Amino acid sequence: MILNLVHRAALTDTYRFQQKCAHDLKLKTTVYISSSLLKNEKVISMVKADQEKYGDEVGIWIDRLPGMPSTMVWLLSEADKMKTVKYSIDKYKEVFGHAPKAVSNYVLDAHLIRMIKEYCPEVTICVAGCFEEGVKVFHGCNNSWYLFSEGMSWNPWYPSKTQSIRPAENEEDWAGVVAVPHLSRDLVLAYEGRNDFFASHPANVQRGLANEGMIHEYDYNLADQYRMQGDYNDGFSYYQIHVSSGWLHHNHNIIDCDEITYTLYRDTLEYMAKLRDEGEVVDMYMSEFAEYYKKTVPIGKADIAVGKDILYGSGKHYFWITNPDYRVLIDAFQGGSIGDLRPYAGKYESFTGTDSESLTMNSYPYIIQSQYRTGVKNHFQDGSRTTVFVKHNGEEKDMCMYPSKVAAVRRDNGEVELDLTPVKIAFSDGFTVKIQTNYMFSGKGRITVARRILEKSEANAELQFTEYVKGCYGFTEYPENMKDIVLASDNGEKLYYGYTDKTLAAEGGKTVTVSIPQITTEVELCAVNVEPDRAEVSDGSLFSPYYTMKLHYTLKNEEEVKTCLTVRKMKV
Amino acid sequence: MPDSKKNESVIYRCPMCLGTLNDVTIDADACGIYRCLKCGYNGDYDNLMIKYAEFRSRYKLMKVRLTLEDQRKM
Ligand SMILES: [Zn+2]
Repeated sequence: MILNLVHRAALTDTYRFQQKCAHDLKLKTTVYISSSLLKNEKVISMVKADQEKYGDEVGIWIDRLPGMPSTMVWLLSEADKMKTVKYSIDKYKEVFGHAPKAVSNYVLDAHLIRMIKEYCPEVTICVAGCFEEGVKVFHGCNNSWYLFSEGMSWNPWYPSKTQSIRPAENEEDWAGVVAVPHLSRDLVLAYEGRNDFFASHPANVQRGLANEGMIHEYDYNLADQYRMQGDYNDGFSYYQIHVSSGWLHHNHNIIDCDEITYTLYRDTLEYMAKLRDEGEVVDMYMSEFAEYYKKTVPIGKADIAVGKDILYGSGKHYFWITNPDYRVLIDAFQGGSIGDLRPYAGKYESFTGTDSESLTMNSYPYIIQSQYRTGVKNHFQDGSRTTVFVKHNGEEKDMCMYPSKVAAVRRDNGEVELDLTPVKIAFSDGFTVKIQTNYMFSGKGRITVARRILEKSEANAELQFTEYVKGCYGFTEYPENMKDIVLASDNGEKLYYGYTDKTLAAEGGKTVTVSIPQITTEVELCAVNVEPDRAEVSDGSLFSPYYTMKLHYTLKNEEEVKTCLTVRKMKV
Repeated sequence: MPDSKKNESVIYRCPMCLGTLNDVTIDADACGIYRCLKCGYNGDYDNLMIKYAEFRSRYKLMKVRLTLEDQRKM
């Protein structure tokens, strides 16, 4: 596993403590100086002294300048962003005598990255987003933390030119820097809960009360969760520890005394140093990592993660995949349904700040988000999710109710295949069927789900399968305006989204599509190996603002039903 | 076990708001009762510690070391 250790320069005892920990352990450290401190002589001489003695890399924590609105740098006007970039780079060059290679903040929108790279081509790496930070953190910070960065990778990525958290499709589409997330977040709990409770940041873990005094096994367990990702990514895994010094002293989110907070921080770095000494971790400066990443991970390569619950003991497994066409989360506990889907292939464009229509929103839109948009039915109706309904003798079962786990993950020629553990479904007449769900993630935005019938208690029993995709589009937990969405079936019929609850049904149809001009995305559900009896696509209502795609199959002796969900850029 | 001995430099958070995953700081009044500005929580220091322990009880693996090998097998 590769480690980037990051500290943020400050004239505080806690910063000196952090630096001492890192230097005592000989961990390569990248120090960021915030833009407004670049003229602070005390800070500069302290940073330079450490740089000379220990070799720290020094980068810019690009931040609003005095006189600008009290906001985050990515939320400034275009003019103020540019002013900040120019000042920070010029000042850095004046102070250090060379150009910076690392320029970062919690989020950098597409325009800010472009400004940085154009003004200073020597910049190779940026911290540029926070995995799954948005709605839940906004709520958790008393509705006052306007950082929306959901829908990105948990891992480093090549940012596209038109939306900073969308991974570039190719060299032409690439903004020219390597982007890394701010911290490494729990691959289960960043989805189910707050990413700022469960991160590679001991003080965040204290914030979530996931330590008890000096007992903090979770800090080690999370590091090992990320080490495990090497198993799925040809050996590559990445971890970032990045704690600003304010977290370690008298912090309003920490109910432990400072002594505990300090100890947890040092223990965590000691674990990293131990792993490094054992050859399990390679510590790198940030710009060193940028070069390594460009050599090792080609643009377009899929990133995979398997998230296993390491804190609650739920036994849950999640599977993540990110490639230039989409980011998909498979919820194994819900029978392998899609819990989150971001259709990057649609190449939705956005930037942030006062000159942007998106304002604060740098999240990449979802078309399925089962945490925010209901998922399985609890009260009224279900919401965005996928499933297969299995019907026998008039009785219908929902696959979401049958927990499974990640059984195997394979990579082959750019395709990624996922097997889940089989589930056994029992009907009231005594009939049972054992079904295994398998996913194939391949090029051109395709997600192919195969339902394999492994065992039937009655060989000739007839079964009806309904592959089901309920979607929408959105950024937060609130619905967006769905008008202008077009629903279509392969017999040429069209239905304009109007909250009418109407259904378009095509007997013998095998394909239905939904076009979402708001996010320039088209979604298609298509039968692959079995002819459906009927294809349906439905409008929603204002009390259930979704579109629903269904393919109905009747199965006699078939051993497998394959259905392909495709996301692509909408033809305009 | 309390998080730490009662320490004047520690800032506490309302345990009921924390239960909704919201961070809201809380102070004690002159009688030593912690009162939340955002919800109805009120309780003394000992009660605060009990509520934090209840919150933590959700983390069944909190004190379990799960090594890389353990996690591969999970
Ligand atoms: Zn409260």
